[in-house]
Amino acid sequence: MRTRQYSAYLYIAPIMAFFLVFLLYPLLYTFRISLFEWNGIDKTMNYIGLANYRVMFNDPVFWQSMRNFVTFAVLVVGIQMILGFLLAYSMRRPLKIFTAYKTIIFVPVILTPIVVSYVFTNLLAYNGGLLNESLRTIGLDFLAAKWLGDPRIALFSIVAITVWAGTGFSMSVYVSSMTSLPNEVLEASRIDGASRRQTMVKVVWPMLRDTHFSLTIIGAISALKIFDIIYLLTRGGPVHATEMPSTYMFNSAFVTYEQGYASAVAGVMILFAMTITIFQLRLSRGSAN
Amino acid sequence: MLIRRIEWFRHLVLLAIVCAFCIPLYELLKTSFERHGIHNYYDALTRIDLGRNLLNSTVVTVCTIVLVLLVTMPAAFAFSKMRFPLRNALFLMILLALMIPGIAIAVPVVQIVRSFDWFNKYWALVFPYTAILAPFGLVLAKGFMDQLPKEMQEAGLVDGCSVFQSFLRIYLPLTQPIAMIVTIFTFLGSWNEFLFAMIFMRKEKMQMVTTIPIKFQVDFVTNMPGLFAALVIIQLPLIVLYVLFQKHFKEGLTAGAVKS
Repeated sequence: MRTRQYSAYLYIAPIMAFFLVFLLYPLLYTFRISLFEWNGIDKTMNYIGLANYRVMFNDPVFWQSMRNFVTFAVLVVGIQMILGFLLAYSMRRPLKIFTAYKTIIFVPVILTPIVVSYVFTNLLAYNGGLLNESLRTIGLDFLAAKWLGDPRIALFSIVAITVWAGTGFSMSVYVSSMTSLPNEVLEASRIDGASRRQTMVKVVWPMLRDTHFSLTIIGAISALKIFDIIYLLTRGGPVHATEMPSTYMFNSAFVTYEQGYASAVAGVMILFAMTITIFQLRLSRGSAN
Repeated sequence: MLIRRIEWFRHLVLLAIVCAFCIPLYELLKTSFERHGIHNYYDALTRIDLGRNLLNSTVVTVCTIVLVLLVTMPAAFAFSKMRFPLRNALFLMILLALMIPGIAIAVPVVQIVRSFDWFNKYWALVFPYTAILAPFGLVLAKGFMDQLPKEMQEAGLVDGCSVFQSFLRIYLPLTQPIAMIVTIFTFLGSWNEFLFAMIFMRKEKMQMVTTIPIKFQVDFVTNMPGLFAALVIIQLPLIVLYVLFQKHFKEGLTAGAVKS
C-alpha cells in the first residue's frame, strides 16, 4: 500500500483543468497584460514595461482606494468579530428564543448583494428614506444626512451595511467554536470568584484565539474581494470616497478600457491576497508546532 | 434580584439588536407590497419577464452544482486517500484559488470566454463559477474524507474491489452529508454572483437574476414597489432553501473558519 498511485492524477485531472484554465492562467496572464498599454479590444498590444505601475503609484486615486480598503477592512473585521462574539456568548444557553434570534441574524449572510444594495439605497435615501424620516419624526433633523452621498460619511455607511450582512457569519463561527470549549473551565473560573465580565474577557475570549485568527483572515480576504455591494451603492463615489481596489480596477478595465493599467491594479490585489495567504499558512503552522 | 435584572437587561438588548437586523428585511417586504399589493409581483413576472431570468439563473446554478460535485468528489478522494508525488503542493496551489478576488482575473477571463465564443451562453458563467467554487468544495470534501478510515479501502481491496470501485461503492455513498453542504454553498455562490453575470450576459434574454434590476432601474424609478417585488422573487429560492436546510447553510458557510 505504500506504493505511489499514479492513477490519482486521473482523479484530480478535472479539477486541475478548471484550476489551470480559469484561475492560474488568468492569474499569470494578468501580470503579463500589466506590462502593456492595451484597451482589451485591439489586436495590437503596446509593450511599455513597468510604466503602468509607475503611473499607478503616482495616482492619488489608487492610494485613496488603498486607504479606503484598510479603513474598511479594519472596521468591518473588528466590529463583526466583537459583535459576533458578544451575540454568540450572550446566547450560549440553549433557549428556543435564542435559536430563533440566531436564525434571523444569519439571514443577511445568504442574501443576494443586489437585493441588499437596493434595500439600503431605499433605507438611506436623503428624502423619504426610512432612517432620515425617523430621525426627523423624533425631532433629530440635524442628524439626517446624505448617508451615501456625503464623502465624509459614505464609507462608514458601507461599513455598517457590510457589518449587517456579515455579523451572522462571525456569530455562527463563534457559536460553533464555543460549543467545543470545556464547560469545566467556565465553572471553575466562576467558582474562583471571577465576575461575569472577567469570565468573558479574560477566560473565554483568549481561549478562542484560533477563531479570532481565522475570522481576521477571512475578513481581510472578503474586504479585498468586495465589489458588487459598493459598485451598486456608490460606484466608488462620491469623489472616490468609497473607492476600493476592486471598483477602481473595474473602472479602468470596463469603463475607460485601460486594461493594461487595470491589470497592474489587479496585480497588486493578487499580491495582497498572496501575502495574506502566506501569512496565514506561516502563523497557523507556527501555532500547530 | 440583581441576576434577574441582568437577565432582563440581556433579553431587552438582544431583542433590540434582532429588531435592528430585521429593519432592512421589513423594508424589502413592505415596499414590495406598496401601492398595488400582490399585483406588483404579477407585474414583475409578466411585464419584465422575470421568469426567463429565473430560468437562466436556475440553469447556470444547476449546471455549476453538478460540475462542482463531479470534479471535487474524485479529487477529494485522491487527496485524502491516495499517495502520489506533489500531492501537498498541488493541494496548496488549489487552496490559493480561495484567496483570489474574481475581479482581479476578470480581464483574462473575458479574453478566454471570448476566444471560446461563449458570450451570452450559459457556459460563460458555468465554467468560471465551477473554477471559483470548486476549491472550497474540495477543502470541505477532503476534510470530511480524512475522517473516514482508510481501512475501508484496504478491506475493499481484499474483497477484490479496484481503487475506483472502492471510491464509487464505499466512499462516495458515505459522503452524502458533505455533498449536501457543497451543493448549498455552490448554489449560493452561483445564484448570487454579479460581476461575471454582468460582463458576459449582455443579451436581455440571457441575463441572470442578479443583473436584471439594473437594466430595469430606469423603468422602475417610477415603480419602486415593482422593483422590490422582483427583488423578493429573486430572493425567494434562497429563503425557502434556508428554511429547509438551515443547519447545512450554517455549516457550509462557516466550515472553513471553524476547522482551521
